[in-house]
Order: sequence, then C-alpha cells, then structure tokens
Amino acid sequence: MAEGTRVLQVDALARVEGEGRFKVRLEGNRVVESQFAIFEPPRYFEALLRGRSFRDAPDITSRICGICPIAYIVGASKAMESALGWEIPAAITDLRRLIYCGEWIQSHVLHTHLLHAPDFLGLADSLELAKVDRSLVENALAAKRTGNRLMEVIGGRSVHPVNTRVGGFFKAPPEDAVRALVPELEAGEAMSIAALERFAAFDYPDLEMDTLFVALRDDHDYPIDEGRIVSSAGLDIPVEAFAEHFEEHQVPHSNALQAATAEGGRYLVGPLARFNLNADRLPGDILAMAERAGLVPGCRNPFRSLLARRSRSSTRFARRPVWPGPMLRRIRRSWTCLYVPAPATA
Amino acid sequence: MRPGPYDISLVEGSISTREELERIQQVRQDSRILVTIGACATAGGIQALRNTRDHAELKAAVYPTPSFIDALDTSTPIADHVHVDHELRGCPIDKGQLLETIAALIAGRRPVIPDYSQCAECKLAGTACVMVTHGTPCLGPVTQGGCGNLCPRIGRGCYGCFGPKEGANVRALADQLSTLGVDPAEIRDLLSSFTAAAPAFAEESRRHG
Repeated sequence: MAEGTRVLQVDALARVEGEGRFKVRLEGNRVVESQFAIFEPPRYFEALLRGRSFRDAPDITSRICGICPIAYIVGASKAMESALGWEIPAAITDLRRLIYCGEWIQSHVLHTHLLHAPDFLGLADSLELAKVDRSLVENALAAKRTGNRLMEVIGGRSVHPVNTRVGGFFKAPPEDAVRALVPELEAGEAMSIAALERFAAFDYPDLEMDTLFVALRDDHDYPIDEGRIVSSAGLDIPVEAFAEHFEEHQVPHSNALQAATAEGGRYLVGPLARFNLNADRLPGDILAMAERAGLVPGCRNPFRSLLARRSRSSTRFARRPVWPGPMLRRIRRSWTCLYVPAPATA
Repeated sequence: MRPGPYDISLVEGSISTREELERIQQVRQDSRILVTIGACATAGGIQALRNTRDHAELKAAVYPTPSFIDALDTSTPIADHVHVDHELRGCPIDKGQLLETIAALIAGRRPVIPDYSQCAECKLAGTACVMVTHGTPCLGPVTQGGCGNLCPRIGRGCYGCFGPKEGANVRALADQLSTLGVDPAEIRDLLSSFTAAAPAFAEESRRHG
C-alpha cells in the first residue's frame, strides 16, 4: 500500500451545475482532509434586495440559477406572501406545482442522464455516451424538451420564466397548449420507467453513510414546495422555524455558506432524503418500481440518490391521472385572473 | 479539454474576481472569435449593482465572516477588459439568436440579430401596448428587442433584461413614467436590474435617487 501524503485535486468539477473544486489529502490510503470549494463569485442577492419592492424578489433571486429558477421564484414568492399574510388559492399552488414539475423533469434528466450516467459507464461525457447508447441520450433530450415546454407554456419562457409573480401568475396559460403536452408527458413516463431499469444496472459503490436526512413532508403529495420540515431523527417543524433548528456558517476555502443543525451536525437534503422521508407518499406502483431498481426506503448509499432522482422524475410523469382532468378544471375556474391582487389597503 | 486556439468562444458571466481578470485575457488569446452571451457578460449582471454601493457593507450583510470573501469591488462586462467580436443580450439569451450566431460564424457571415427596440416587437406582433392601455410601466421603448415579445403579451411591462437599445432615449421614457404617476424609487429600480450597469440605464436611474 502507498505510504506518505498524496493530494488529489479536481480544479473544475464538470459534473455539477455550478463552479466547484474538490481536493482530497490522503496519508497512506486514509483520507485525512477533504475540501469542497465553490468558487463561483459572490453576488450578494440578499443585500441587493434591501430597499426594493417585495415584488422584485422572485425575478431577482431567480438569477441565482438558470437551470432551477422556479425553486427561487416559488421560494421567494412564498416568503413574500407569508410576510404579507396573503392566502394563495389552490388553483395557483397547483399551477406552481406543475411548472415546478417541468423544472424537475428538465433539471433531473440533465443531472442523471447527461452529467452522471457517463461517469457510471466510464465514459468522458454525454457525447461519448451517445456513441454507445444513442437512445438513452435521445430520450434524455426528449424529456428535457418536455420539461422545458411545460415551463414555457406556464411560465412564458423556459429559462427565467416571466409569467410568475408574488401572488401567482400574470396570465393563465392557454388550456389547449397545456393539453397539447399530454402525449409528450405520456411518452416521458414510458421513457422514465425504461431509464429506471437501465440505471438500476449501474455498478453502485458500496457505501453506507450514517446520515441525518432532512426534507419537506406534505399531508398528501410527494413534497416539492409545500409541507413541514422533517428529519430522520424525528424533527417535525413548520418552515418558519427553520432558523431555530439550522444555522449557516462559512469556511475559508469556499464562497458558499455551509449549513448545519443547531447542534453543529451535518445533514443531507435532496432526492435521497426526500425519498427516505416520503416513500409512503409515492404512488404504490412507483415505489414498487424503485424497490425493484434497488432503491429501498431507508437507503443510506448516497450514490443511489441517482435512482431517487429517476424515481422522482417517474413520479412526475406518472401524475397523469391527477391532471389534466381535475387539475385543469380547477385552473379553468379562475381562468382569467390567476393571481391574488394586493389588498386595497396594503 | 483540448488546448486552444478555438474558432469560437462563448463567454458567459461578468468579471468580478481577480482570477476572472486573468482568465479572460487567456480566453481572448486562445480564441479566434469571442462572443459574449447574456446580461452578466454584456452588462455586468444584477451583481453590478454593487458598483455604486459600499462593497464591504454588502459582504457583511450576507456573510458571517466577510473577510473570507475575495472579490473585486466591481462587476464589469467582458468588453471592459478585452475585445469582443459579437454579443448576445438577454437574461437569458434567446436560443434562436445563439443558433443564428453560431451558424453565421461557421458560414463566415455576420449574424442577423435585431437592433430595434422591444417596443417594435410588440407592434410587429400586434400586442396591445401595456403602457398606453393600462398605464403599466414598461421599458420596451428603450430595451433592445430579441426576446420575442414575452412580457407585454402576458400583460406585463418589459423589465429590460436585454439591456438598453443603442441610442435609446431613456430620459424621455422616465419622464413619461413620471407623468403616469410612477414614483421615483420605482423608476430607479426598474432601470436597476440585470443590466443596471449599462451606461444608458445607470445614468438615468441615478437621476431618480
């Protein structure tokens, strides 16, 4: 076995949606230090929003990321609505969930098929992947198109949508345009199920981590943007209490704030945490598929979060029974004015 | 990554750290054609709002240990530092414009990119003017077209994500907004978003406090 100190360093991580550097120091074969540095320059969003109208918050914060703008638009909108005490009707929250599904579909397929699958198959990138498995890449691009279309039809633009606002939307999306997406979504569902089987055959490193999982948990649905914050250690708090239970701090080597529990412990969020804490909210057939693919609730192998991402995308496609029927009917009811106007005496 | 030189480099993002100051010189040296894409690369981005503010105060407002943050006091467009051959506006850019630019450069011709205002796009599309019909503040008359008439067609005023059109009369628009009863802070903020540091917008927004 090798003795002495070795340093492994990747200066630009090409498999993440952002700019990061990773450094590991080994003594012999033991890791003694690891550093994950986000060197994306600081942009001071929180500070720049001060003194501006609350209506600017969603569009400005969405510029944090062009791949997941909806996360910021919905997050900022909900924060403003909560501060204003606005009640948001179900038609709006449904439509938000739908555009969020579009974002998940396009973002997850980018992550699973185009960024991570090449690594599992020992290939340089998605172009190499297309040479050995053309249909996998074609399916990924088709699904990405479907997700983008969903965002575009509801949001007016697939990157940094313009139709969203604090309180809801500027204009209801045309019903026929939403309905026209159904065949694409059905094709996406079949593709997603096939991809889950394909991904299940990857060789996952054996790694069981003792991790605290933290995710949202909703009364009815698999959670996206609604619910309480729960953990695998039994935490169950409203979103407003986040700051009492978690804290953010800095490390010298990274521009990104790091988060910990109030006691200083690490925790994991994201698809694996959400799956583990909400498996019972998945439709039975999707959960069964995930289990056949090797993703069982309570999974502690972070590499398998790839499967959670795929299962989740399957779920999104598989929501077909819920919409466009009842969902569209609910949207149509408040067709012309899909937003909550500011109270007259604001 | 294969070493350069490259035929075309697409550069996104602004210059806001010392590393970026050096890297852009290298990118220029390695590129036959350099195309800047997006509001950050062409105007400095939303983060350029810090150019007129106290940088140390902004750091302290966001970071518990501001001394760990190493960044320039300004965020500036690429063209402030190196020669830029073509630019694509927008936050985000328009996909059609990107394809047109790459196709044109491969074919050795000039890309055909609109240089008229967003306002003209509304007229071409037959979209009712939101400012005339509802008094909604709109930057369409002074913003470069190219997005495809996205905001006014859903009843929303243009928020200027493609930046100022060349020769735009921003003061006349601001005066009209004042006449409509829009308060100075709102006019200032409307001009202070993703292309806030573009001279035509920066200059006018300063007049409104």
